[in-house]
Amino acid sequence: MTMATEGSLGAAVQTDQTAFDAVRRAKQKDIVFATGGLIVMAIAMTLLLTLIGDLVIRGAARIDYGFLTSYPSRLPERAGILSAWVGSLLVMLVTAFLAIPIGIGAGLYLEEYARKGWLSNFIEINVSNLAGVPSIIYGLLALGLFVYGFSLGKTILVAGMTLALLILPIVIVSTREAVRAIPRIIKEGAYGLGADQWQVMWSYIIPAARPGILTGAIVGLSRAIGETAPIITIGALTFIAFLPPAPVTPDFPLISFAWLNDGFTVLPIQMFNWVSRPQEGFHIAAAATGVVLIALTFTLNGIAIWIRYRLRKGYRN
Amino acid sequence: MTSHPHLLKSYDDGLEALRRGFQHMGDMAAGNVTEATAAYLAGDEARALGAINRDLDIDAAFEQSRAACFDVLLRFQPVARDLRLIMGIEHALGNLERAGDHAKTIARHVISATDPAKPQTDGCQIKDMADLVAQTLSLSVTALVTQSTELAKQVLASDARIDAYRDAVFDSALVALKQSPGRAQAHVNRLFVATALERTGDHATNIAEEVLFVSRGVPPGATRTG
Amino acid sequence: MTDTTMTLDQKTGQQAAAAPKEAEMPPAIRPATERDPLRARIEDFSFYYSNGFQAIKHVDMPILDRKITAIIGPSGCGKSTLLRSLNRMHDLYPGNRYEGKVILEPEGENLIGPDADPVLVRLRVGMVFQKPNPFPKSIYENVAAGLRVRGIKKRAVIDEAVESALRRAAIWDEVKDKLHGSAYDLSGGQQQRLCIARGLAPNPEILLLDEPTSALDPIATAKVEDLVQELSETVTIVIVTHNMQQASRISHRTAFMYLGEAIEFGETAQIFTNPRHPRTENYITGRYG
Repeated sequence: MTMATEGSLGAAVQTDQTAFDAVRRAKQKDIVFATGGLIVMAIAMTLLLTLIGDLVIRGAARIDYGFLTSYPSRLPERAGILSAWVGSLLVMLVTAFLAIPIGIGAGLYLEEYARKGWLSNFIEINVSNLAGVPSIIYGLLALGLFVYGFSLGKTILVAGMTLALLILPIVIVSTREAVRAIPRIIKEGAYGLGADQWQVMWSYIIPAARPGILTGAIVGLSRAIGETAPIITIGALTFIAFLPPAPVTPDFPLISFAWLNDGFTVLPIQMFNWVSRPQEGFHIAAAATGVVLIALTFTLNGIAIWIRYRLRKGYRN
Repeated sequence: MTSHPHLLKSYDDGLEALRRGFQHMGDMAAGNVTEATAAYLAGDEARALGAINRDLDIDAAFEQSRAACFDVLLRFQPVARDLRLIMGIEHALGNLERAGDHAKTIARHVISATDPAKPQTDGCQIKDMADLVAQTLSLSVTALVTQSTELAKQVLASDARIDAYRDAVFDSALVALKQSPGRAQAHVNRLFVATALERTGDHATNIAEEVLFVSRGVPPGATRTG
Repeated sequence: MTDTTMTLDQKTGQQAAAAPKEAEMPPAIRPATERDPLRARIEDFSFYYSNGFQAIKHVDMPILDRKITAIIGPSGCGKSTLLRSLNRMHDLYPGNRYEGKVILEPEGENLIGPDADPVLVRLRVGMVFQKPNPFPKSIYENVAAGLRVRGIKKRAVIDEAVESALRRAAIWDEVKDKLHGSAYDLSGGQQQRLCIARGLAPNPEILLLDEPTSALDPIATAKVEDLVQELSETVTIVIVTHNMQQASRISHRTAFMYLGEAIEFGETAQIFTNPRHPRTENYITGRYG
């Protein structure tokens, strides 16, 4: 009996020693992995910062009031991006108005109303796949369908529709994720009070999913603002020295949609155009446009993060 | 009735300890009845003192077992059959403690007797009665420990015989009082002893009724016929 | 006869050994006719999940008017499933199927009948869940939610109902100064009482409580238990609980469920002091078998 006890005690001490060794080895592995991760991250961040830094160093000085309020010009020092940023803004407006309601509606329908079956699975897989389709394919689709098929022309409306198609999967997927993340007991609690599906949707699901949905929508828009390929494909103009008609008019009915049918250019195309010219002055202008574009994208992402942070705080249980 | 073990082994252990404590106390009480009566019959004051002192042990065992009952109640919050068993044991413990007190009463009569050295000549009935009472008491304890309704019914049947013994002792004492008034003290003592034994038998009956309650869940009142 | 049994025993070993034991078990004890007024009758009720699993098998159970009925039983016995059937929670997920009747007295309406609208059923039968689940809104809006669902818009009516529900749920004094603060700022026990107030505000005929104190500390649990007992004077309550002491403390009737069947139903004192069915006894005394 005593022997056995001593034996097991000895074994216990040995086990402790092994355990200490194992823990020490695991800690060493942790350190190695953390160091490796840090190096990789440093490389990635350096590259990114160099890129942005390069743009900023070359272009930042070029950005002034004149640059933002001038049309493109043959002379690099007089060229501006007025038509480009106004174009970008208007195209984004169309995209947002189309993609956000349709995407949220489709996401909510798929998650809450659609019968779960092979069809909904099929749609789910395809929506996820669409998010990964190269953007130029959307451009070709838009060219064939909107520009030639419906004869809508190379207008702001078509550009907005094209980009809306492009980001629709992102909005749908993020809406579904956001709805799915709502705790089941919240939904059941609402149903348990006798709420019908519509009431649960409007009063509980949409408010609770709002941060996720808005984040998805803004991330989608920030992707759309930088897209060049589909816009080029549908034939955006590269040299525009005029603005589309203003959306707000002094006469009745005060709002005009004439701008939708106007030609346009956008920031990435303006940049692309200037980069491909030989004059150094245009390269600087392109860098400056790049800075503006990055600033816009960062701003949009920043808004997304802020919304997520602000709204989630109120909904965390 | 087959009884499955508890999921908690300590619960079964607690109940088992309770049963053992109760059995032990039952053995002591029944033994002391026999011992006190023997001392009375022999007129042996030393043995009687021994019996009186042993009642202190019974009281101590009573306190201990009752504490064990509280402990099980507190720790396992028993329900249903377990709850009835513990309540039954708790009541039966009180009955055993009272039975022990009656044994002490018998022993006291040895000491208070005017002529204790003289053995009791009319002790035959008392001896038989004491044997029956001690046996019935043991039987009632076994009945509760094993939760046997059969044994409990035997105990209830014995009670009538014990009462008959008491009546017989009473009658013979009355006769003896008239014949030899000089030894009135001894005759009265015999009456007290018989009464104490009869009361002890009643406690055995109470324990048997607890057995019926524990195993069937029917309150004892429902089993009383008269 | 003996020979057959022996060969059976030898062939199938444990199974055969277990089988006669099962056969010895008396059938489930059907509830006796109640003398007290009923609020609902569950009759020959069965429930099937969408995967075909029969979670509840031919259950009969009376629900007494303005009394507390507790349902106890081991995990997976179907007690929560039964409770959730009473306000048609299972209709939220497709493929689930009810059989039998749940008759709401005195109207005699079958809650699980084909023409009973689940939404309307839930308006009459409220539910409080295991984990406190206040909505991410203000305390006031949480309690008002059930009224808003019913299309009540008058501010004065809602104000009054909110205060009365919070008073009935014994939480008014704790929250009256922060009605428009977030419900998430309350403690777990307060949240659960808020959920009870939310369930009470629309004046349901039956209030279902699904293990309402399992996520609460003893003090909060005691408050909820007291509250439930007070409420039973005005509303019919059905409570599912894992805590048998709780069932014995607060309920008037107790049902014991096992493997989807209602094994025994009776007065709580009887169930906990002298259960009739050995399975009930084994469960409540904490024995194997």
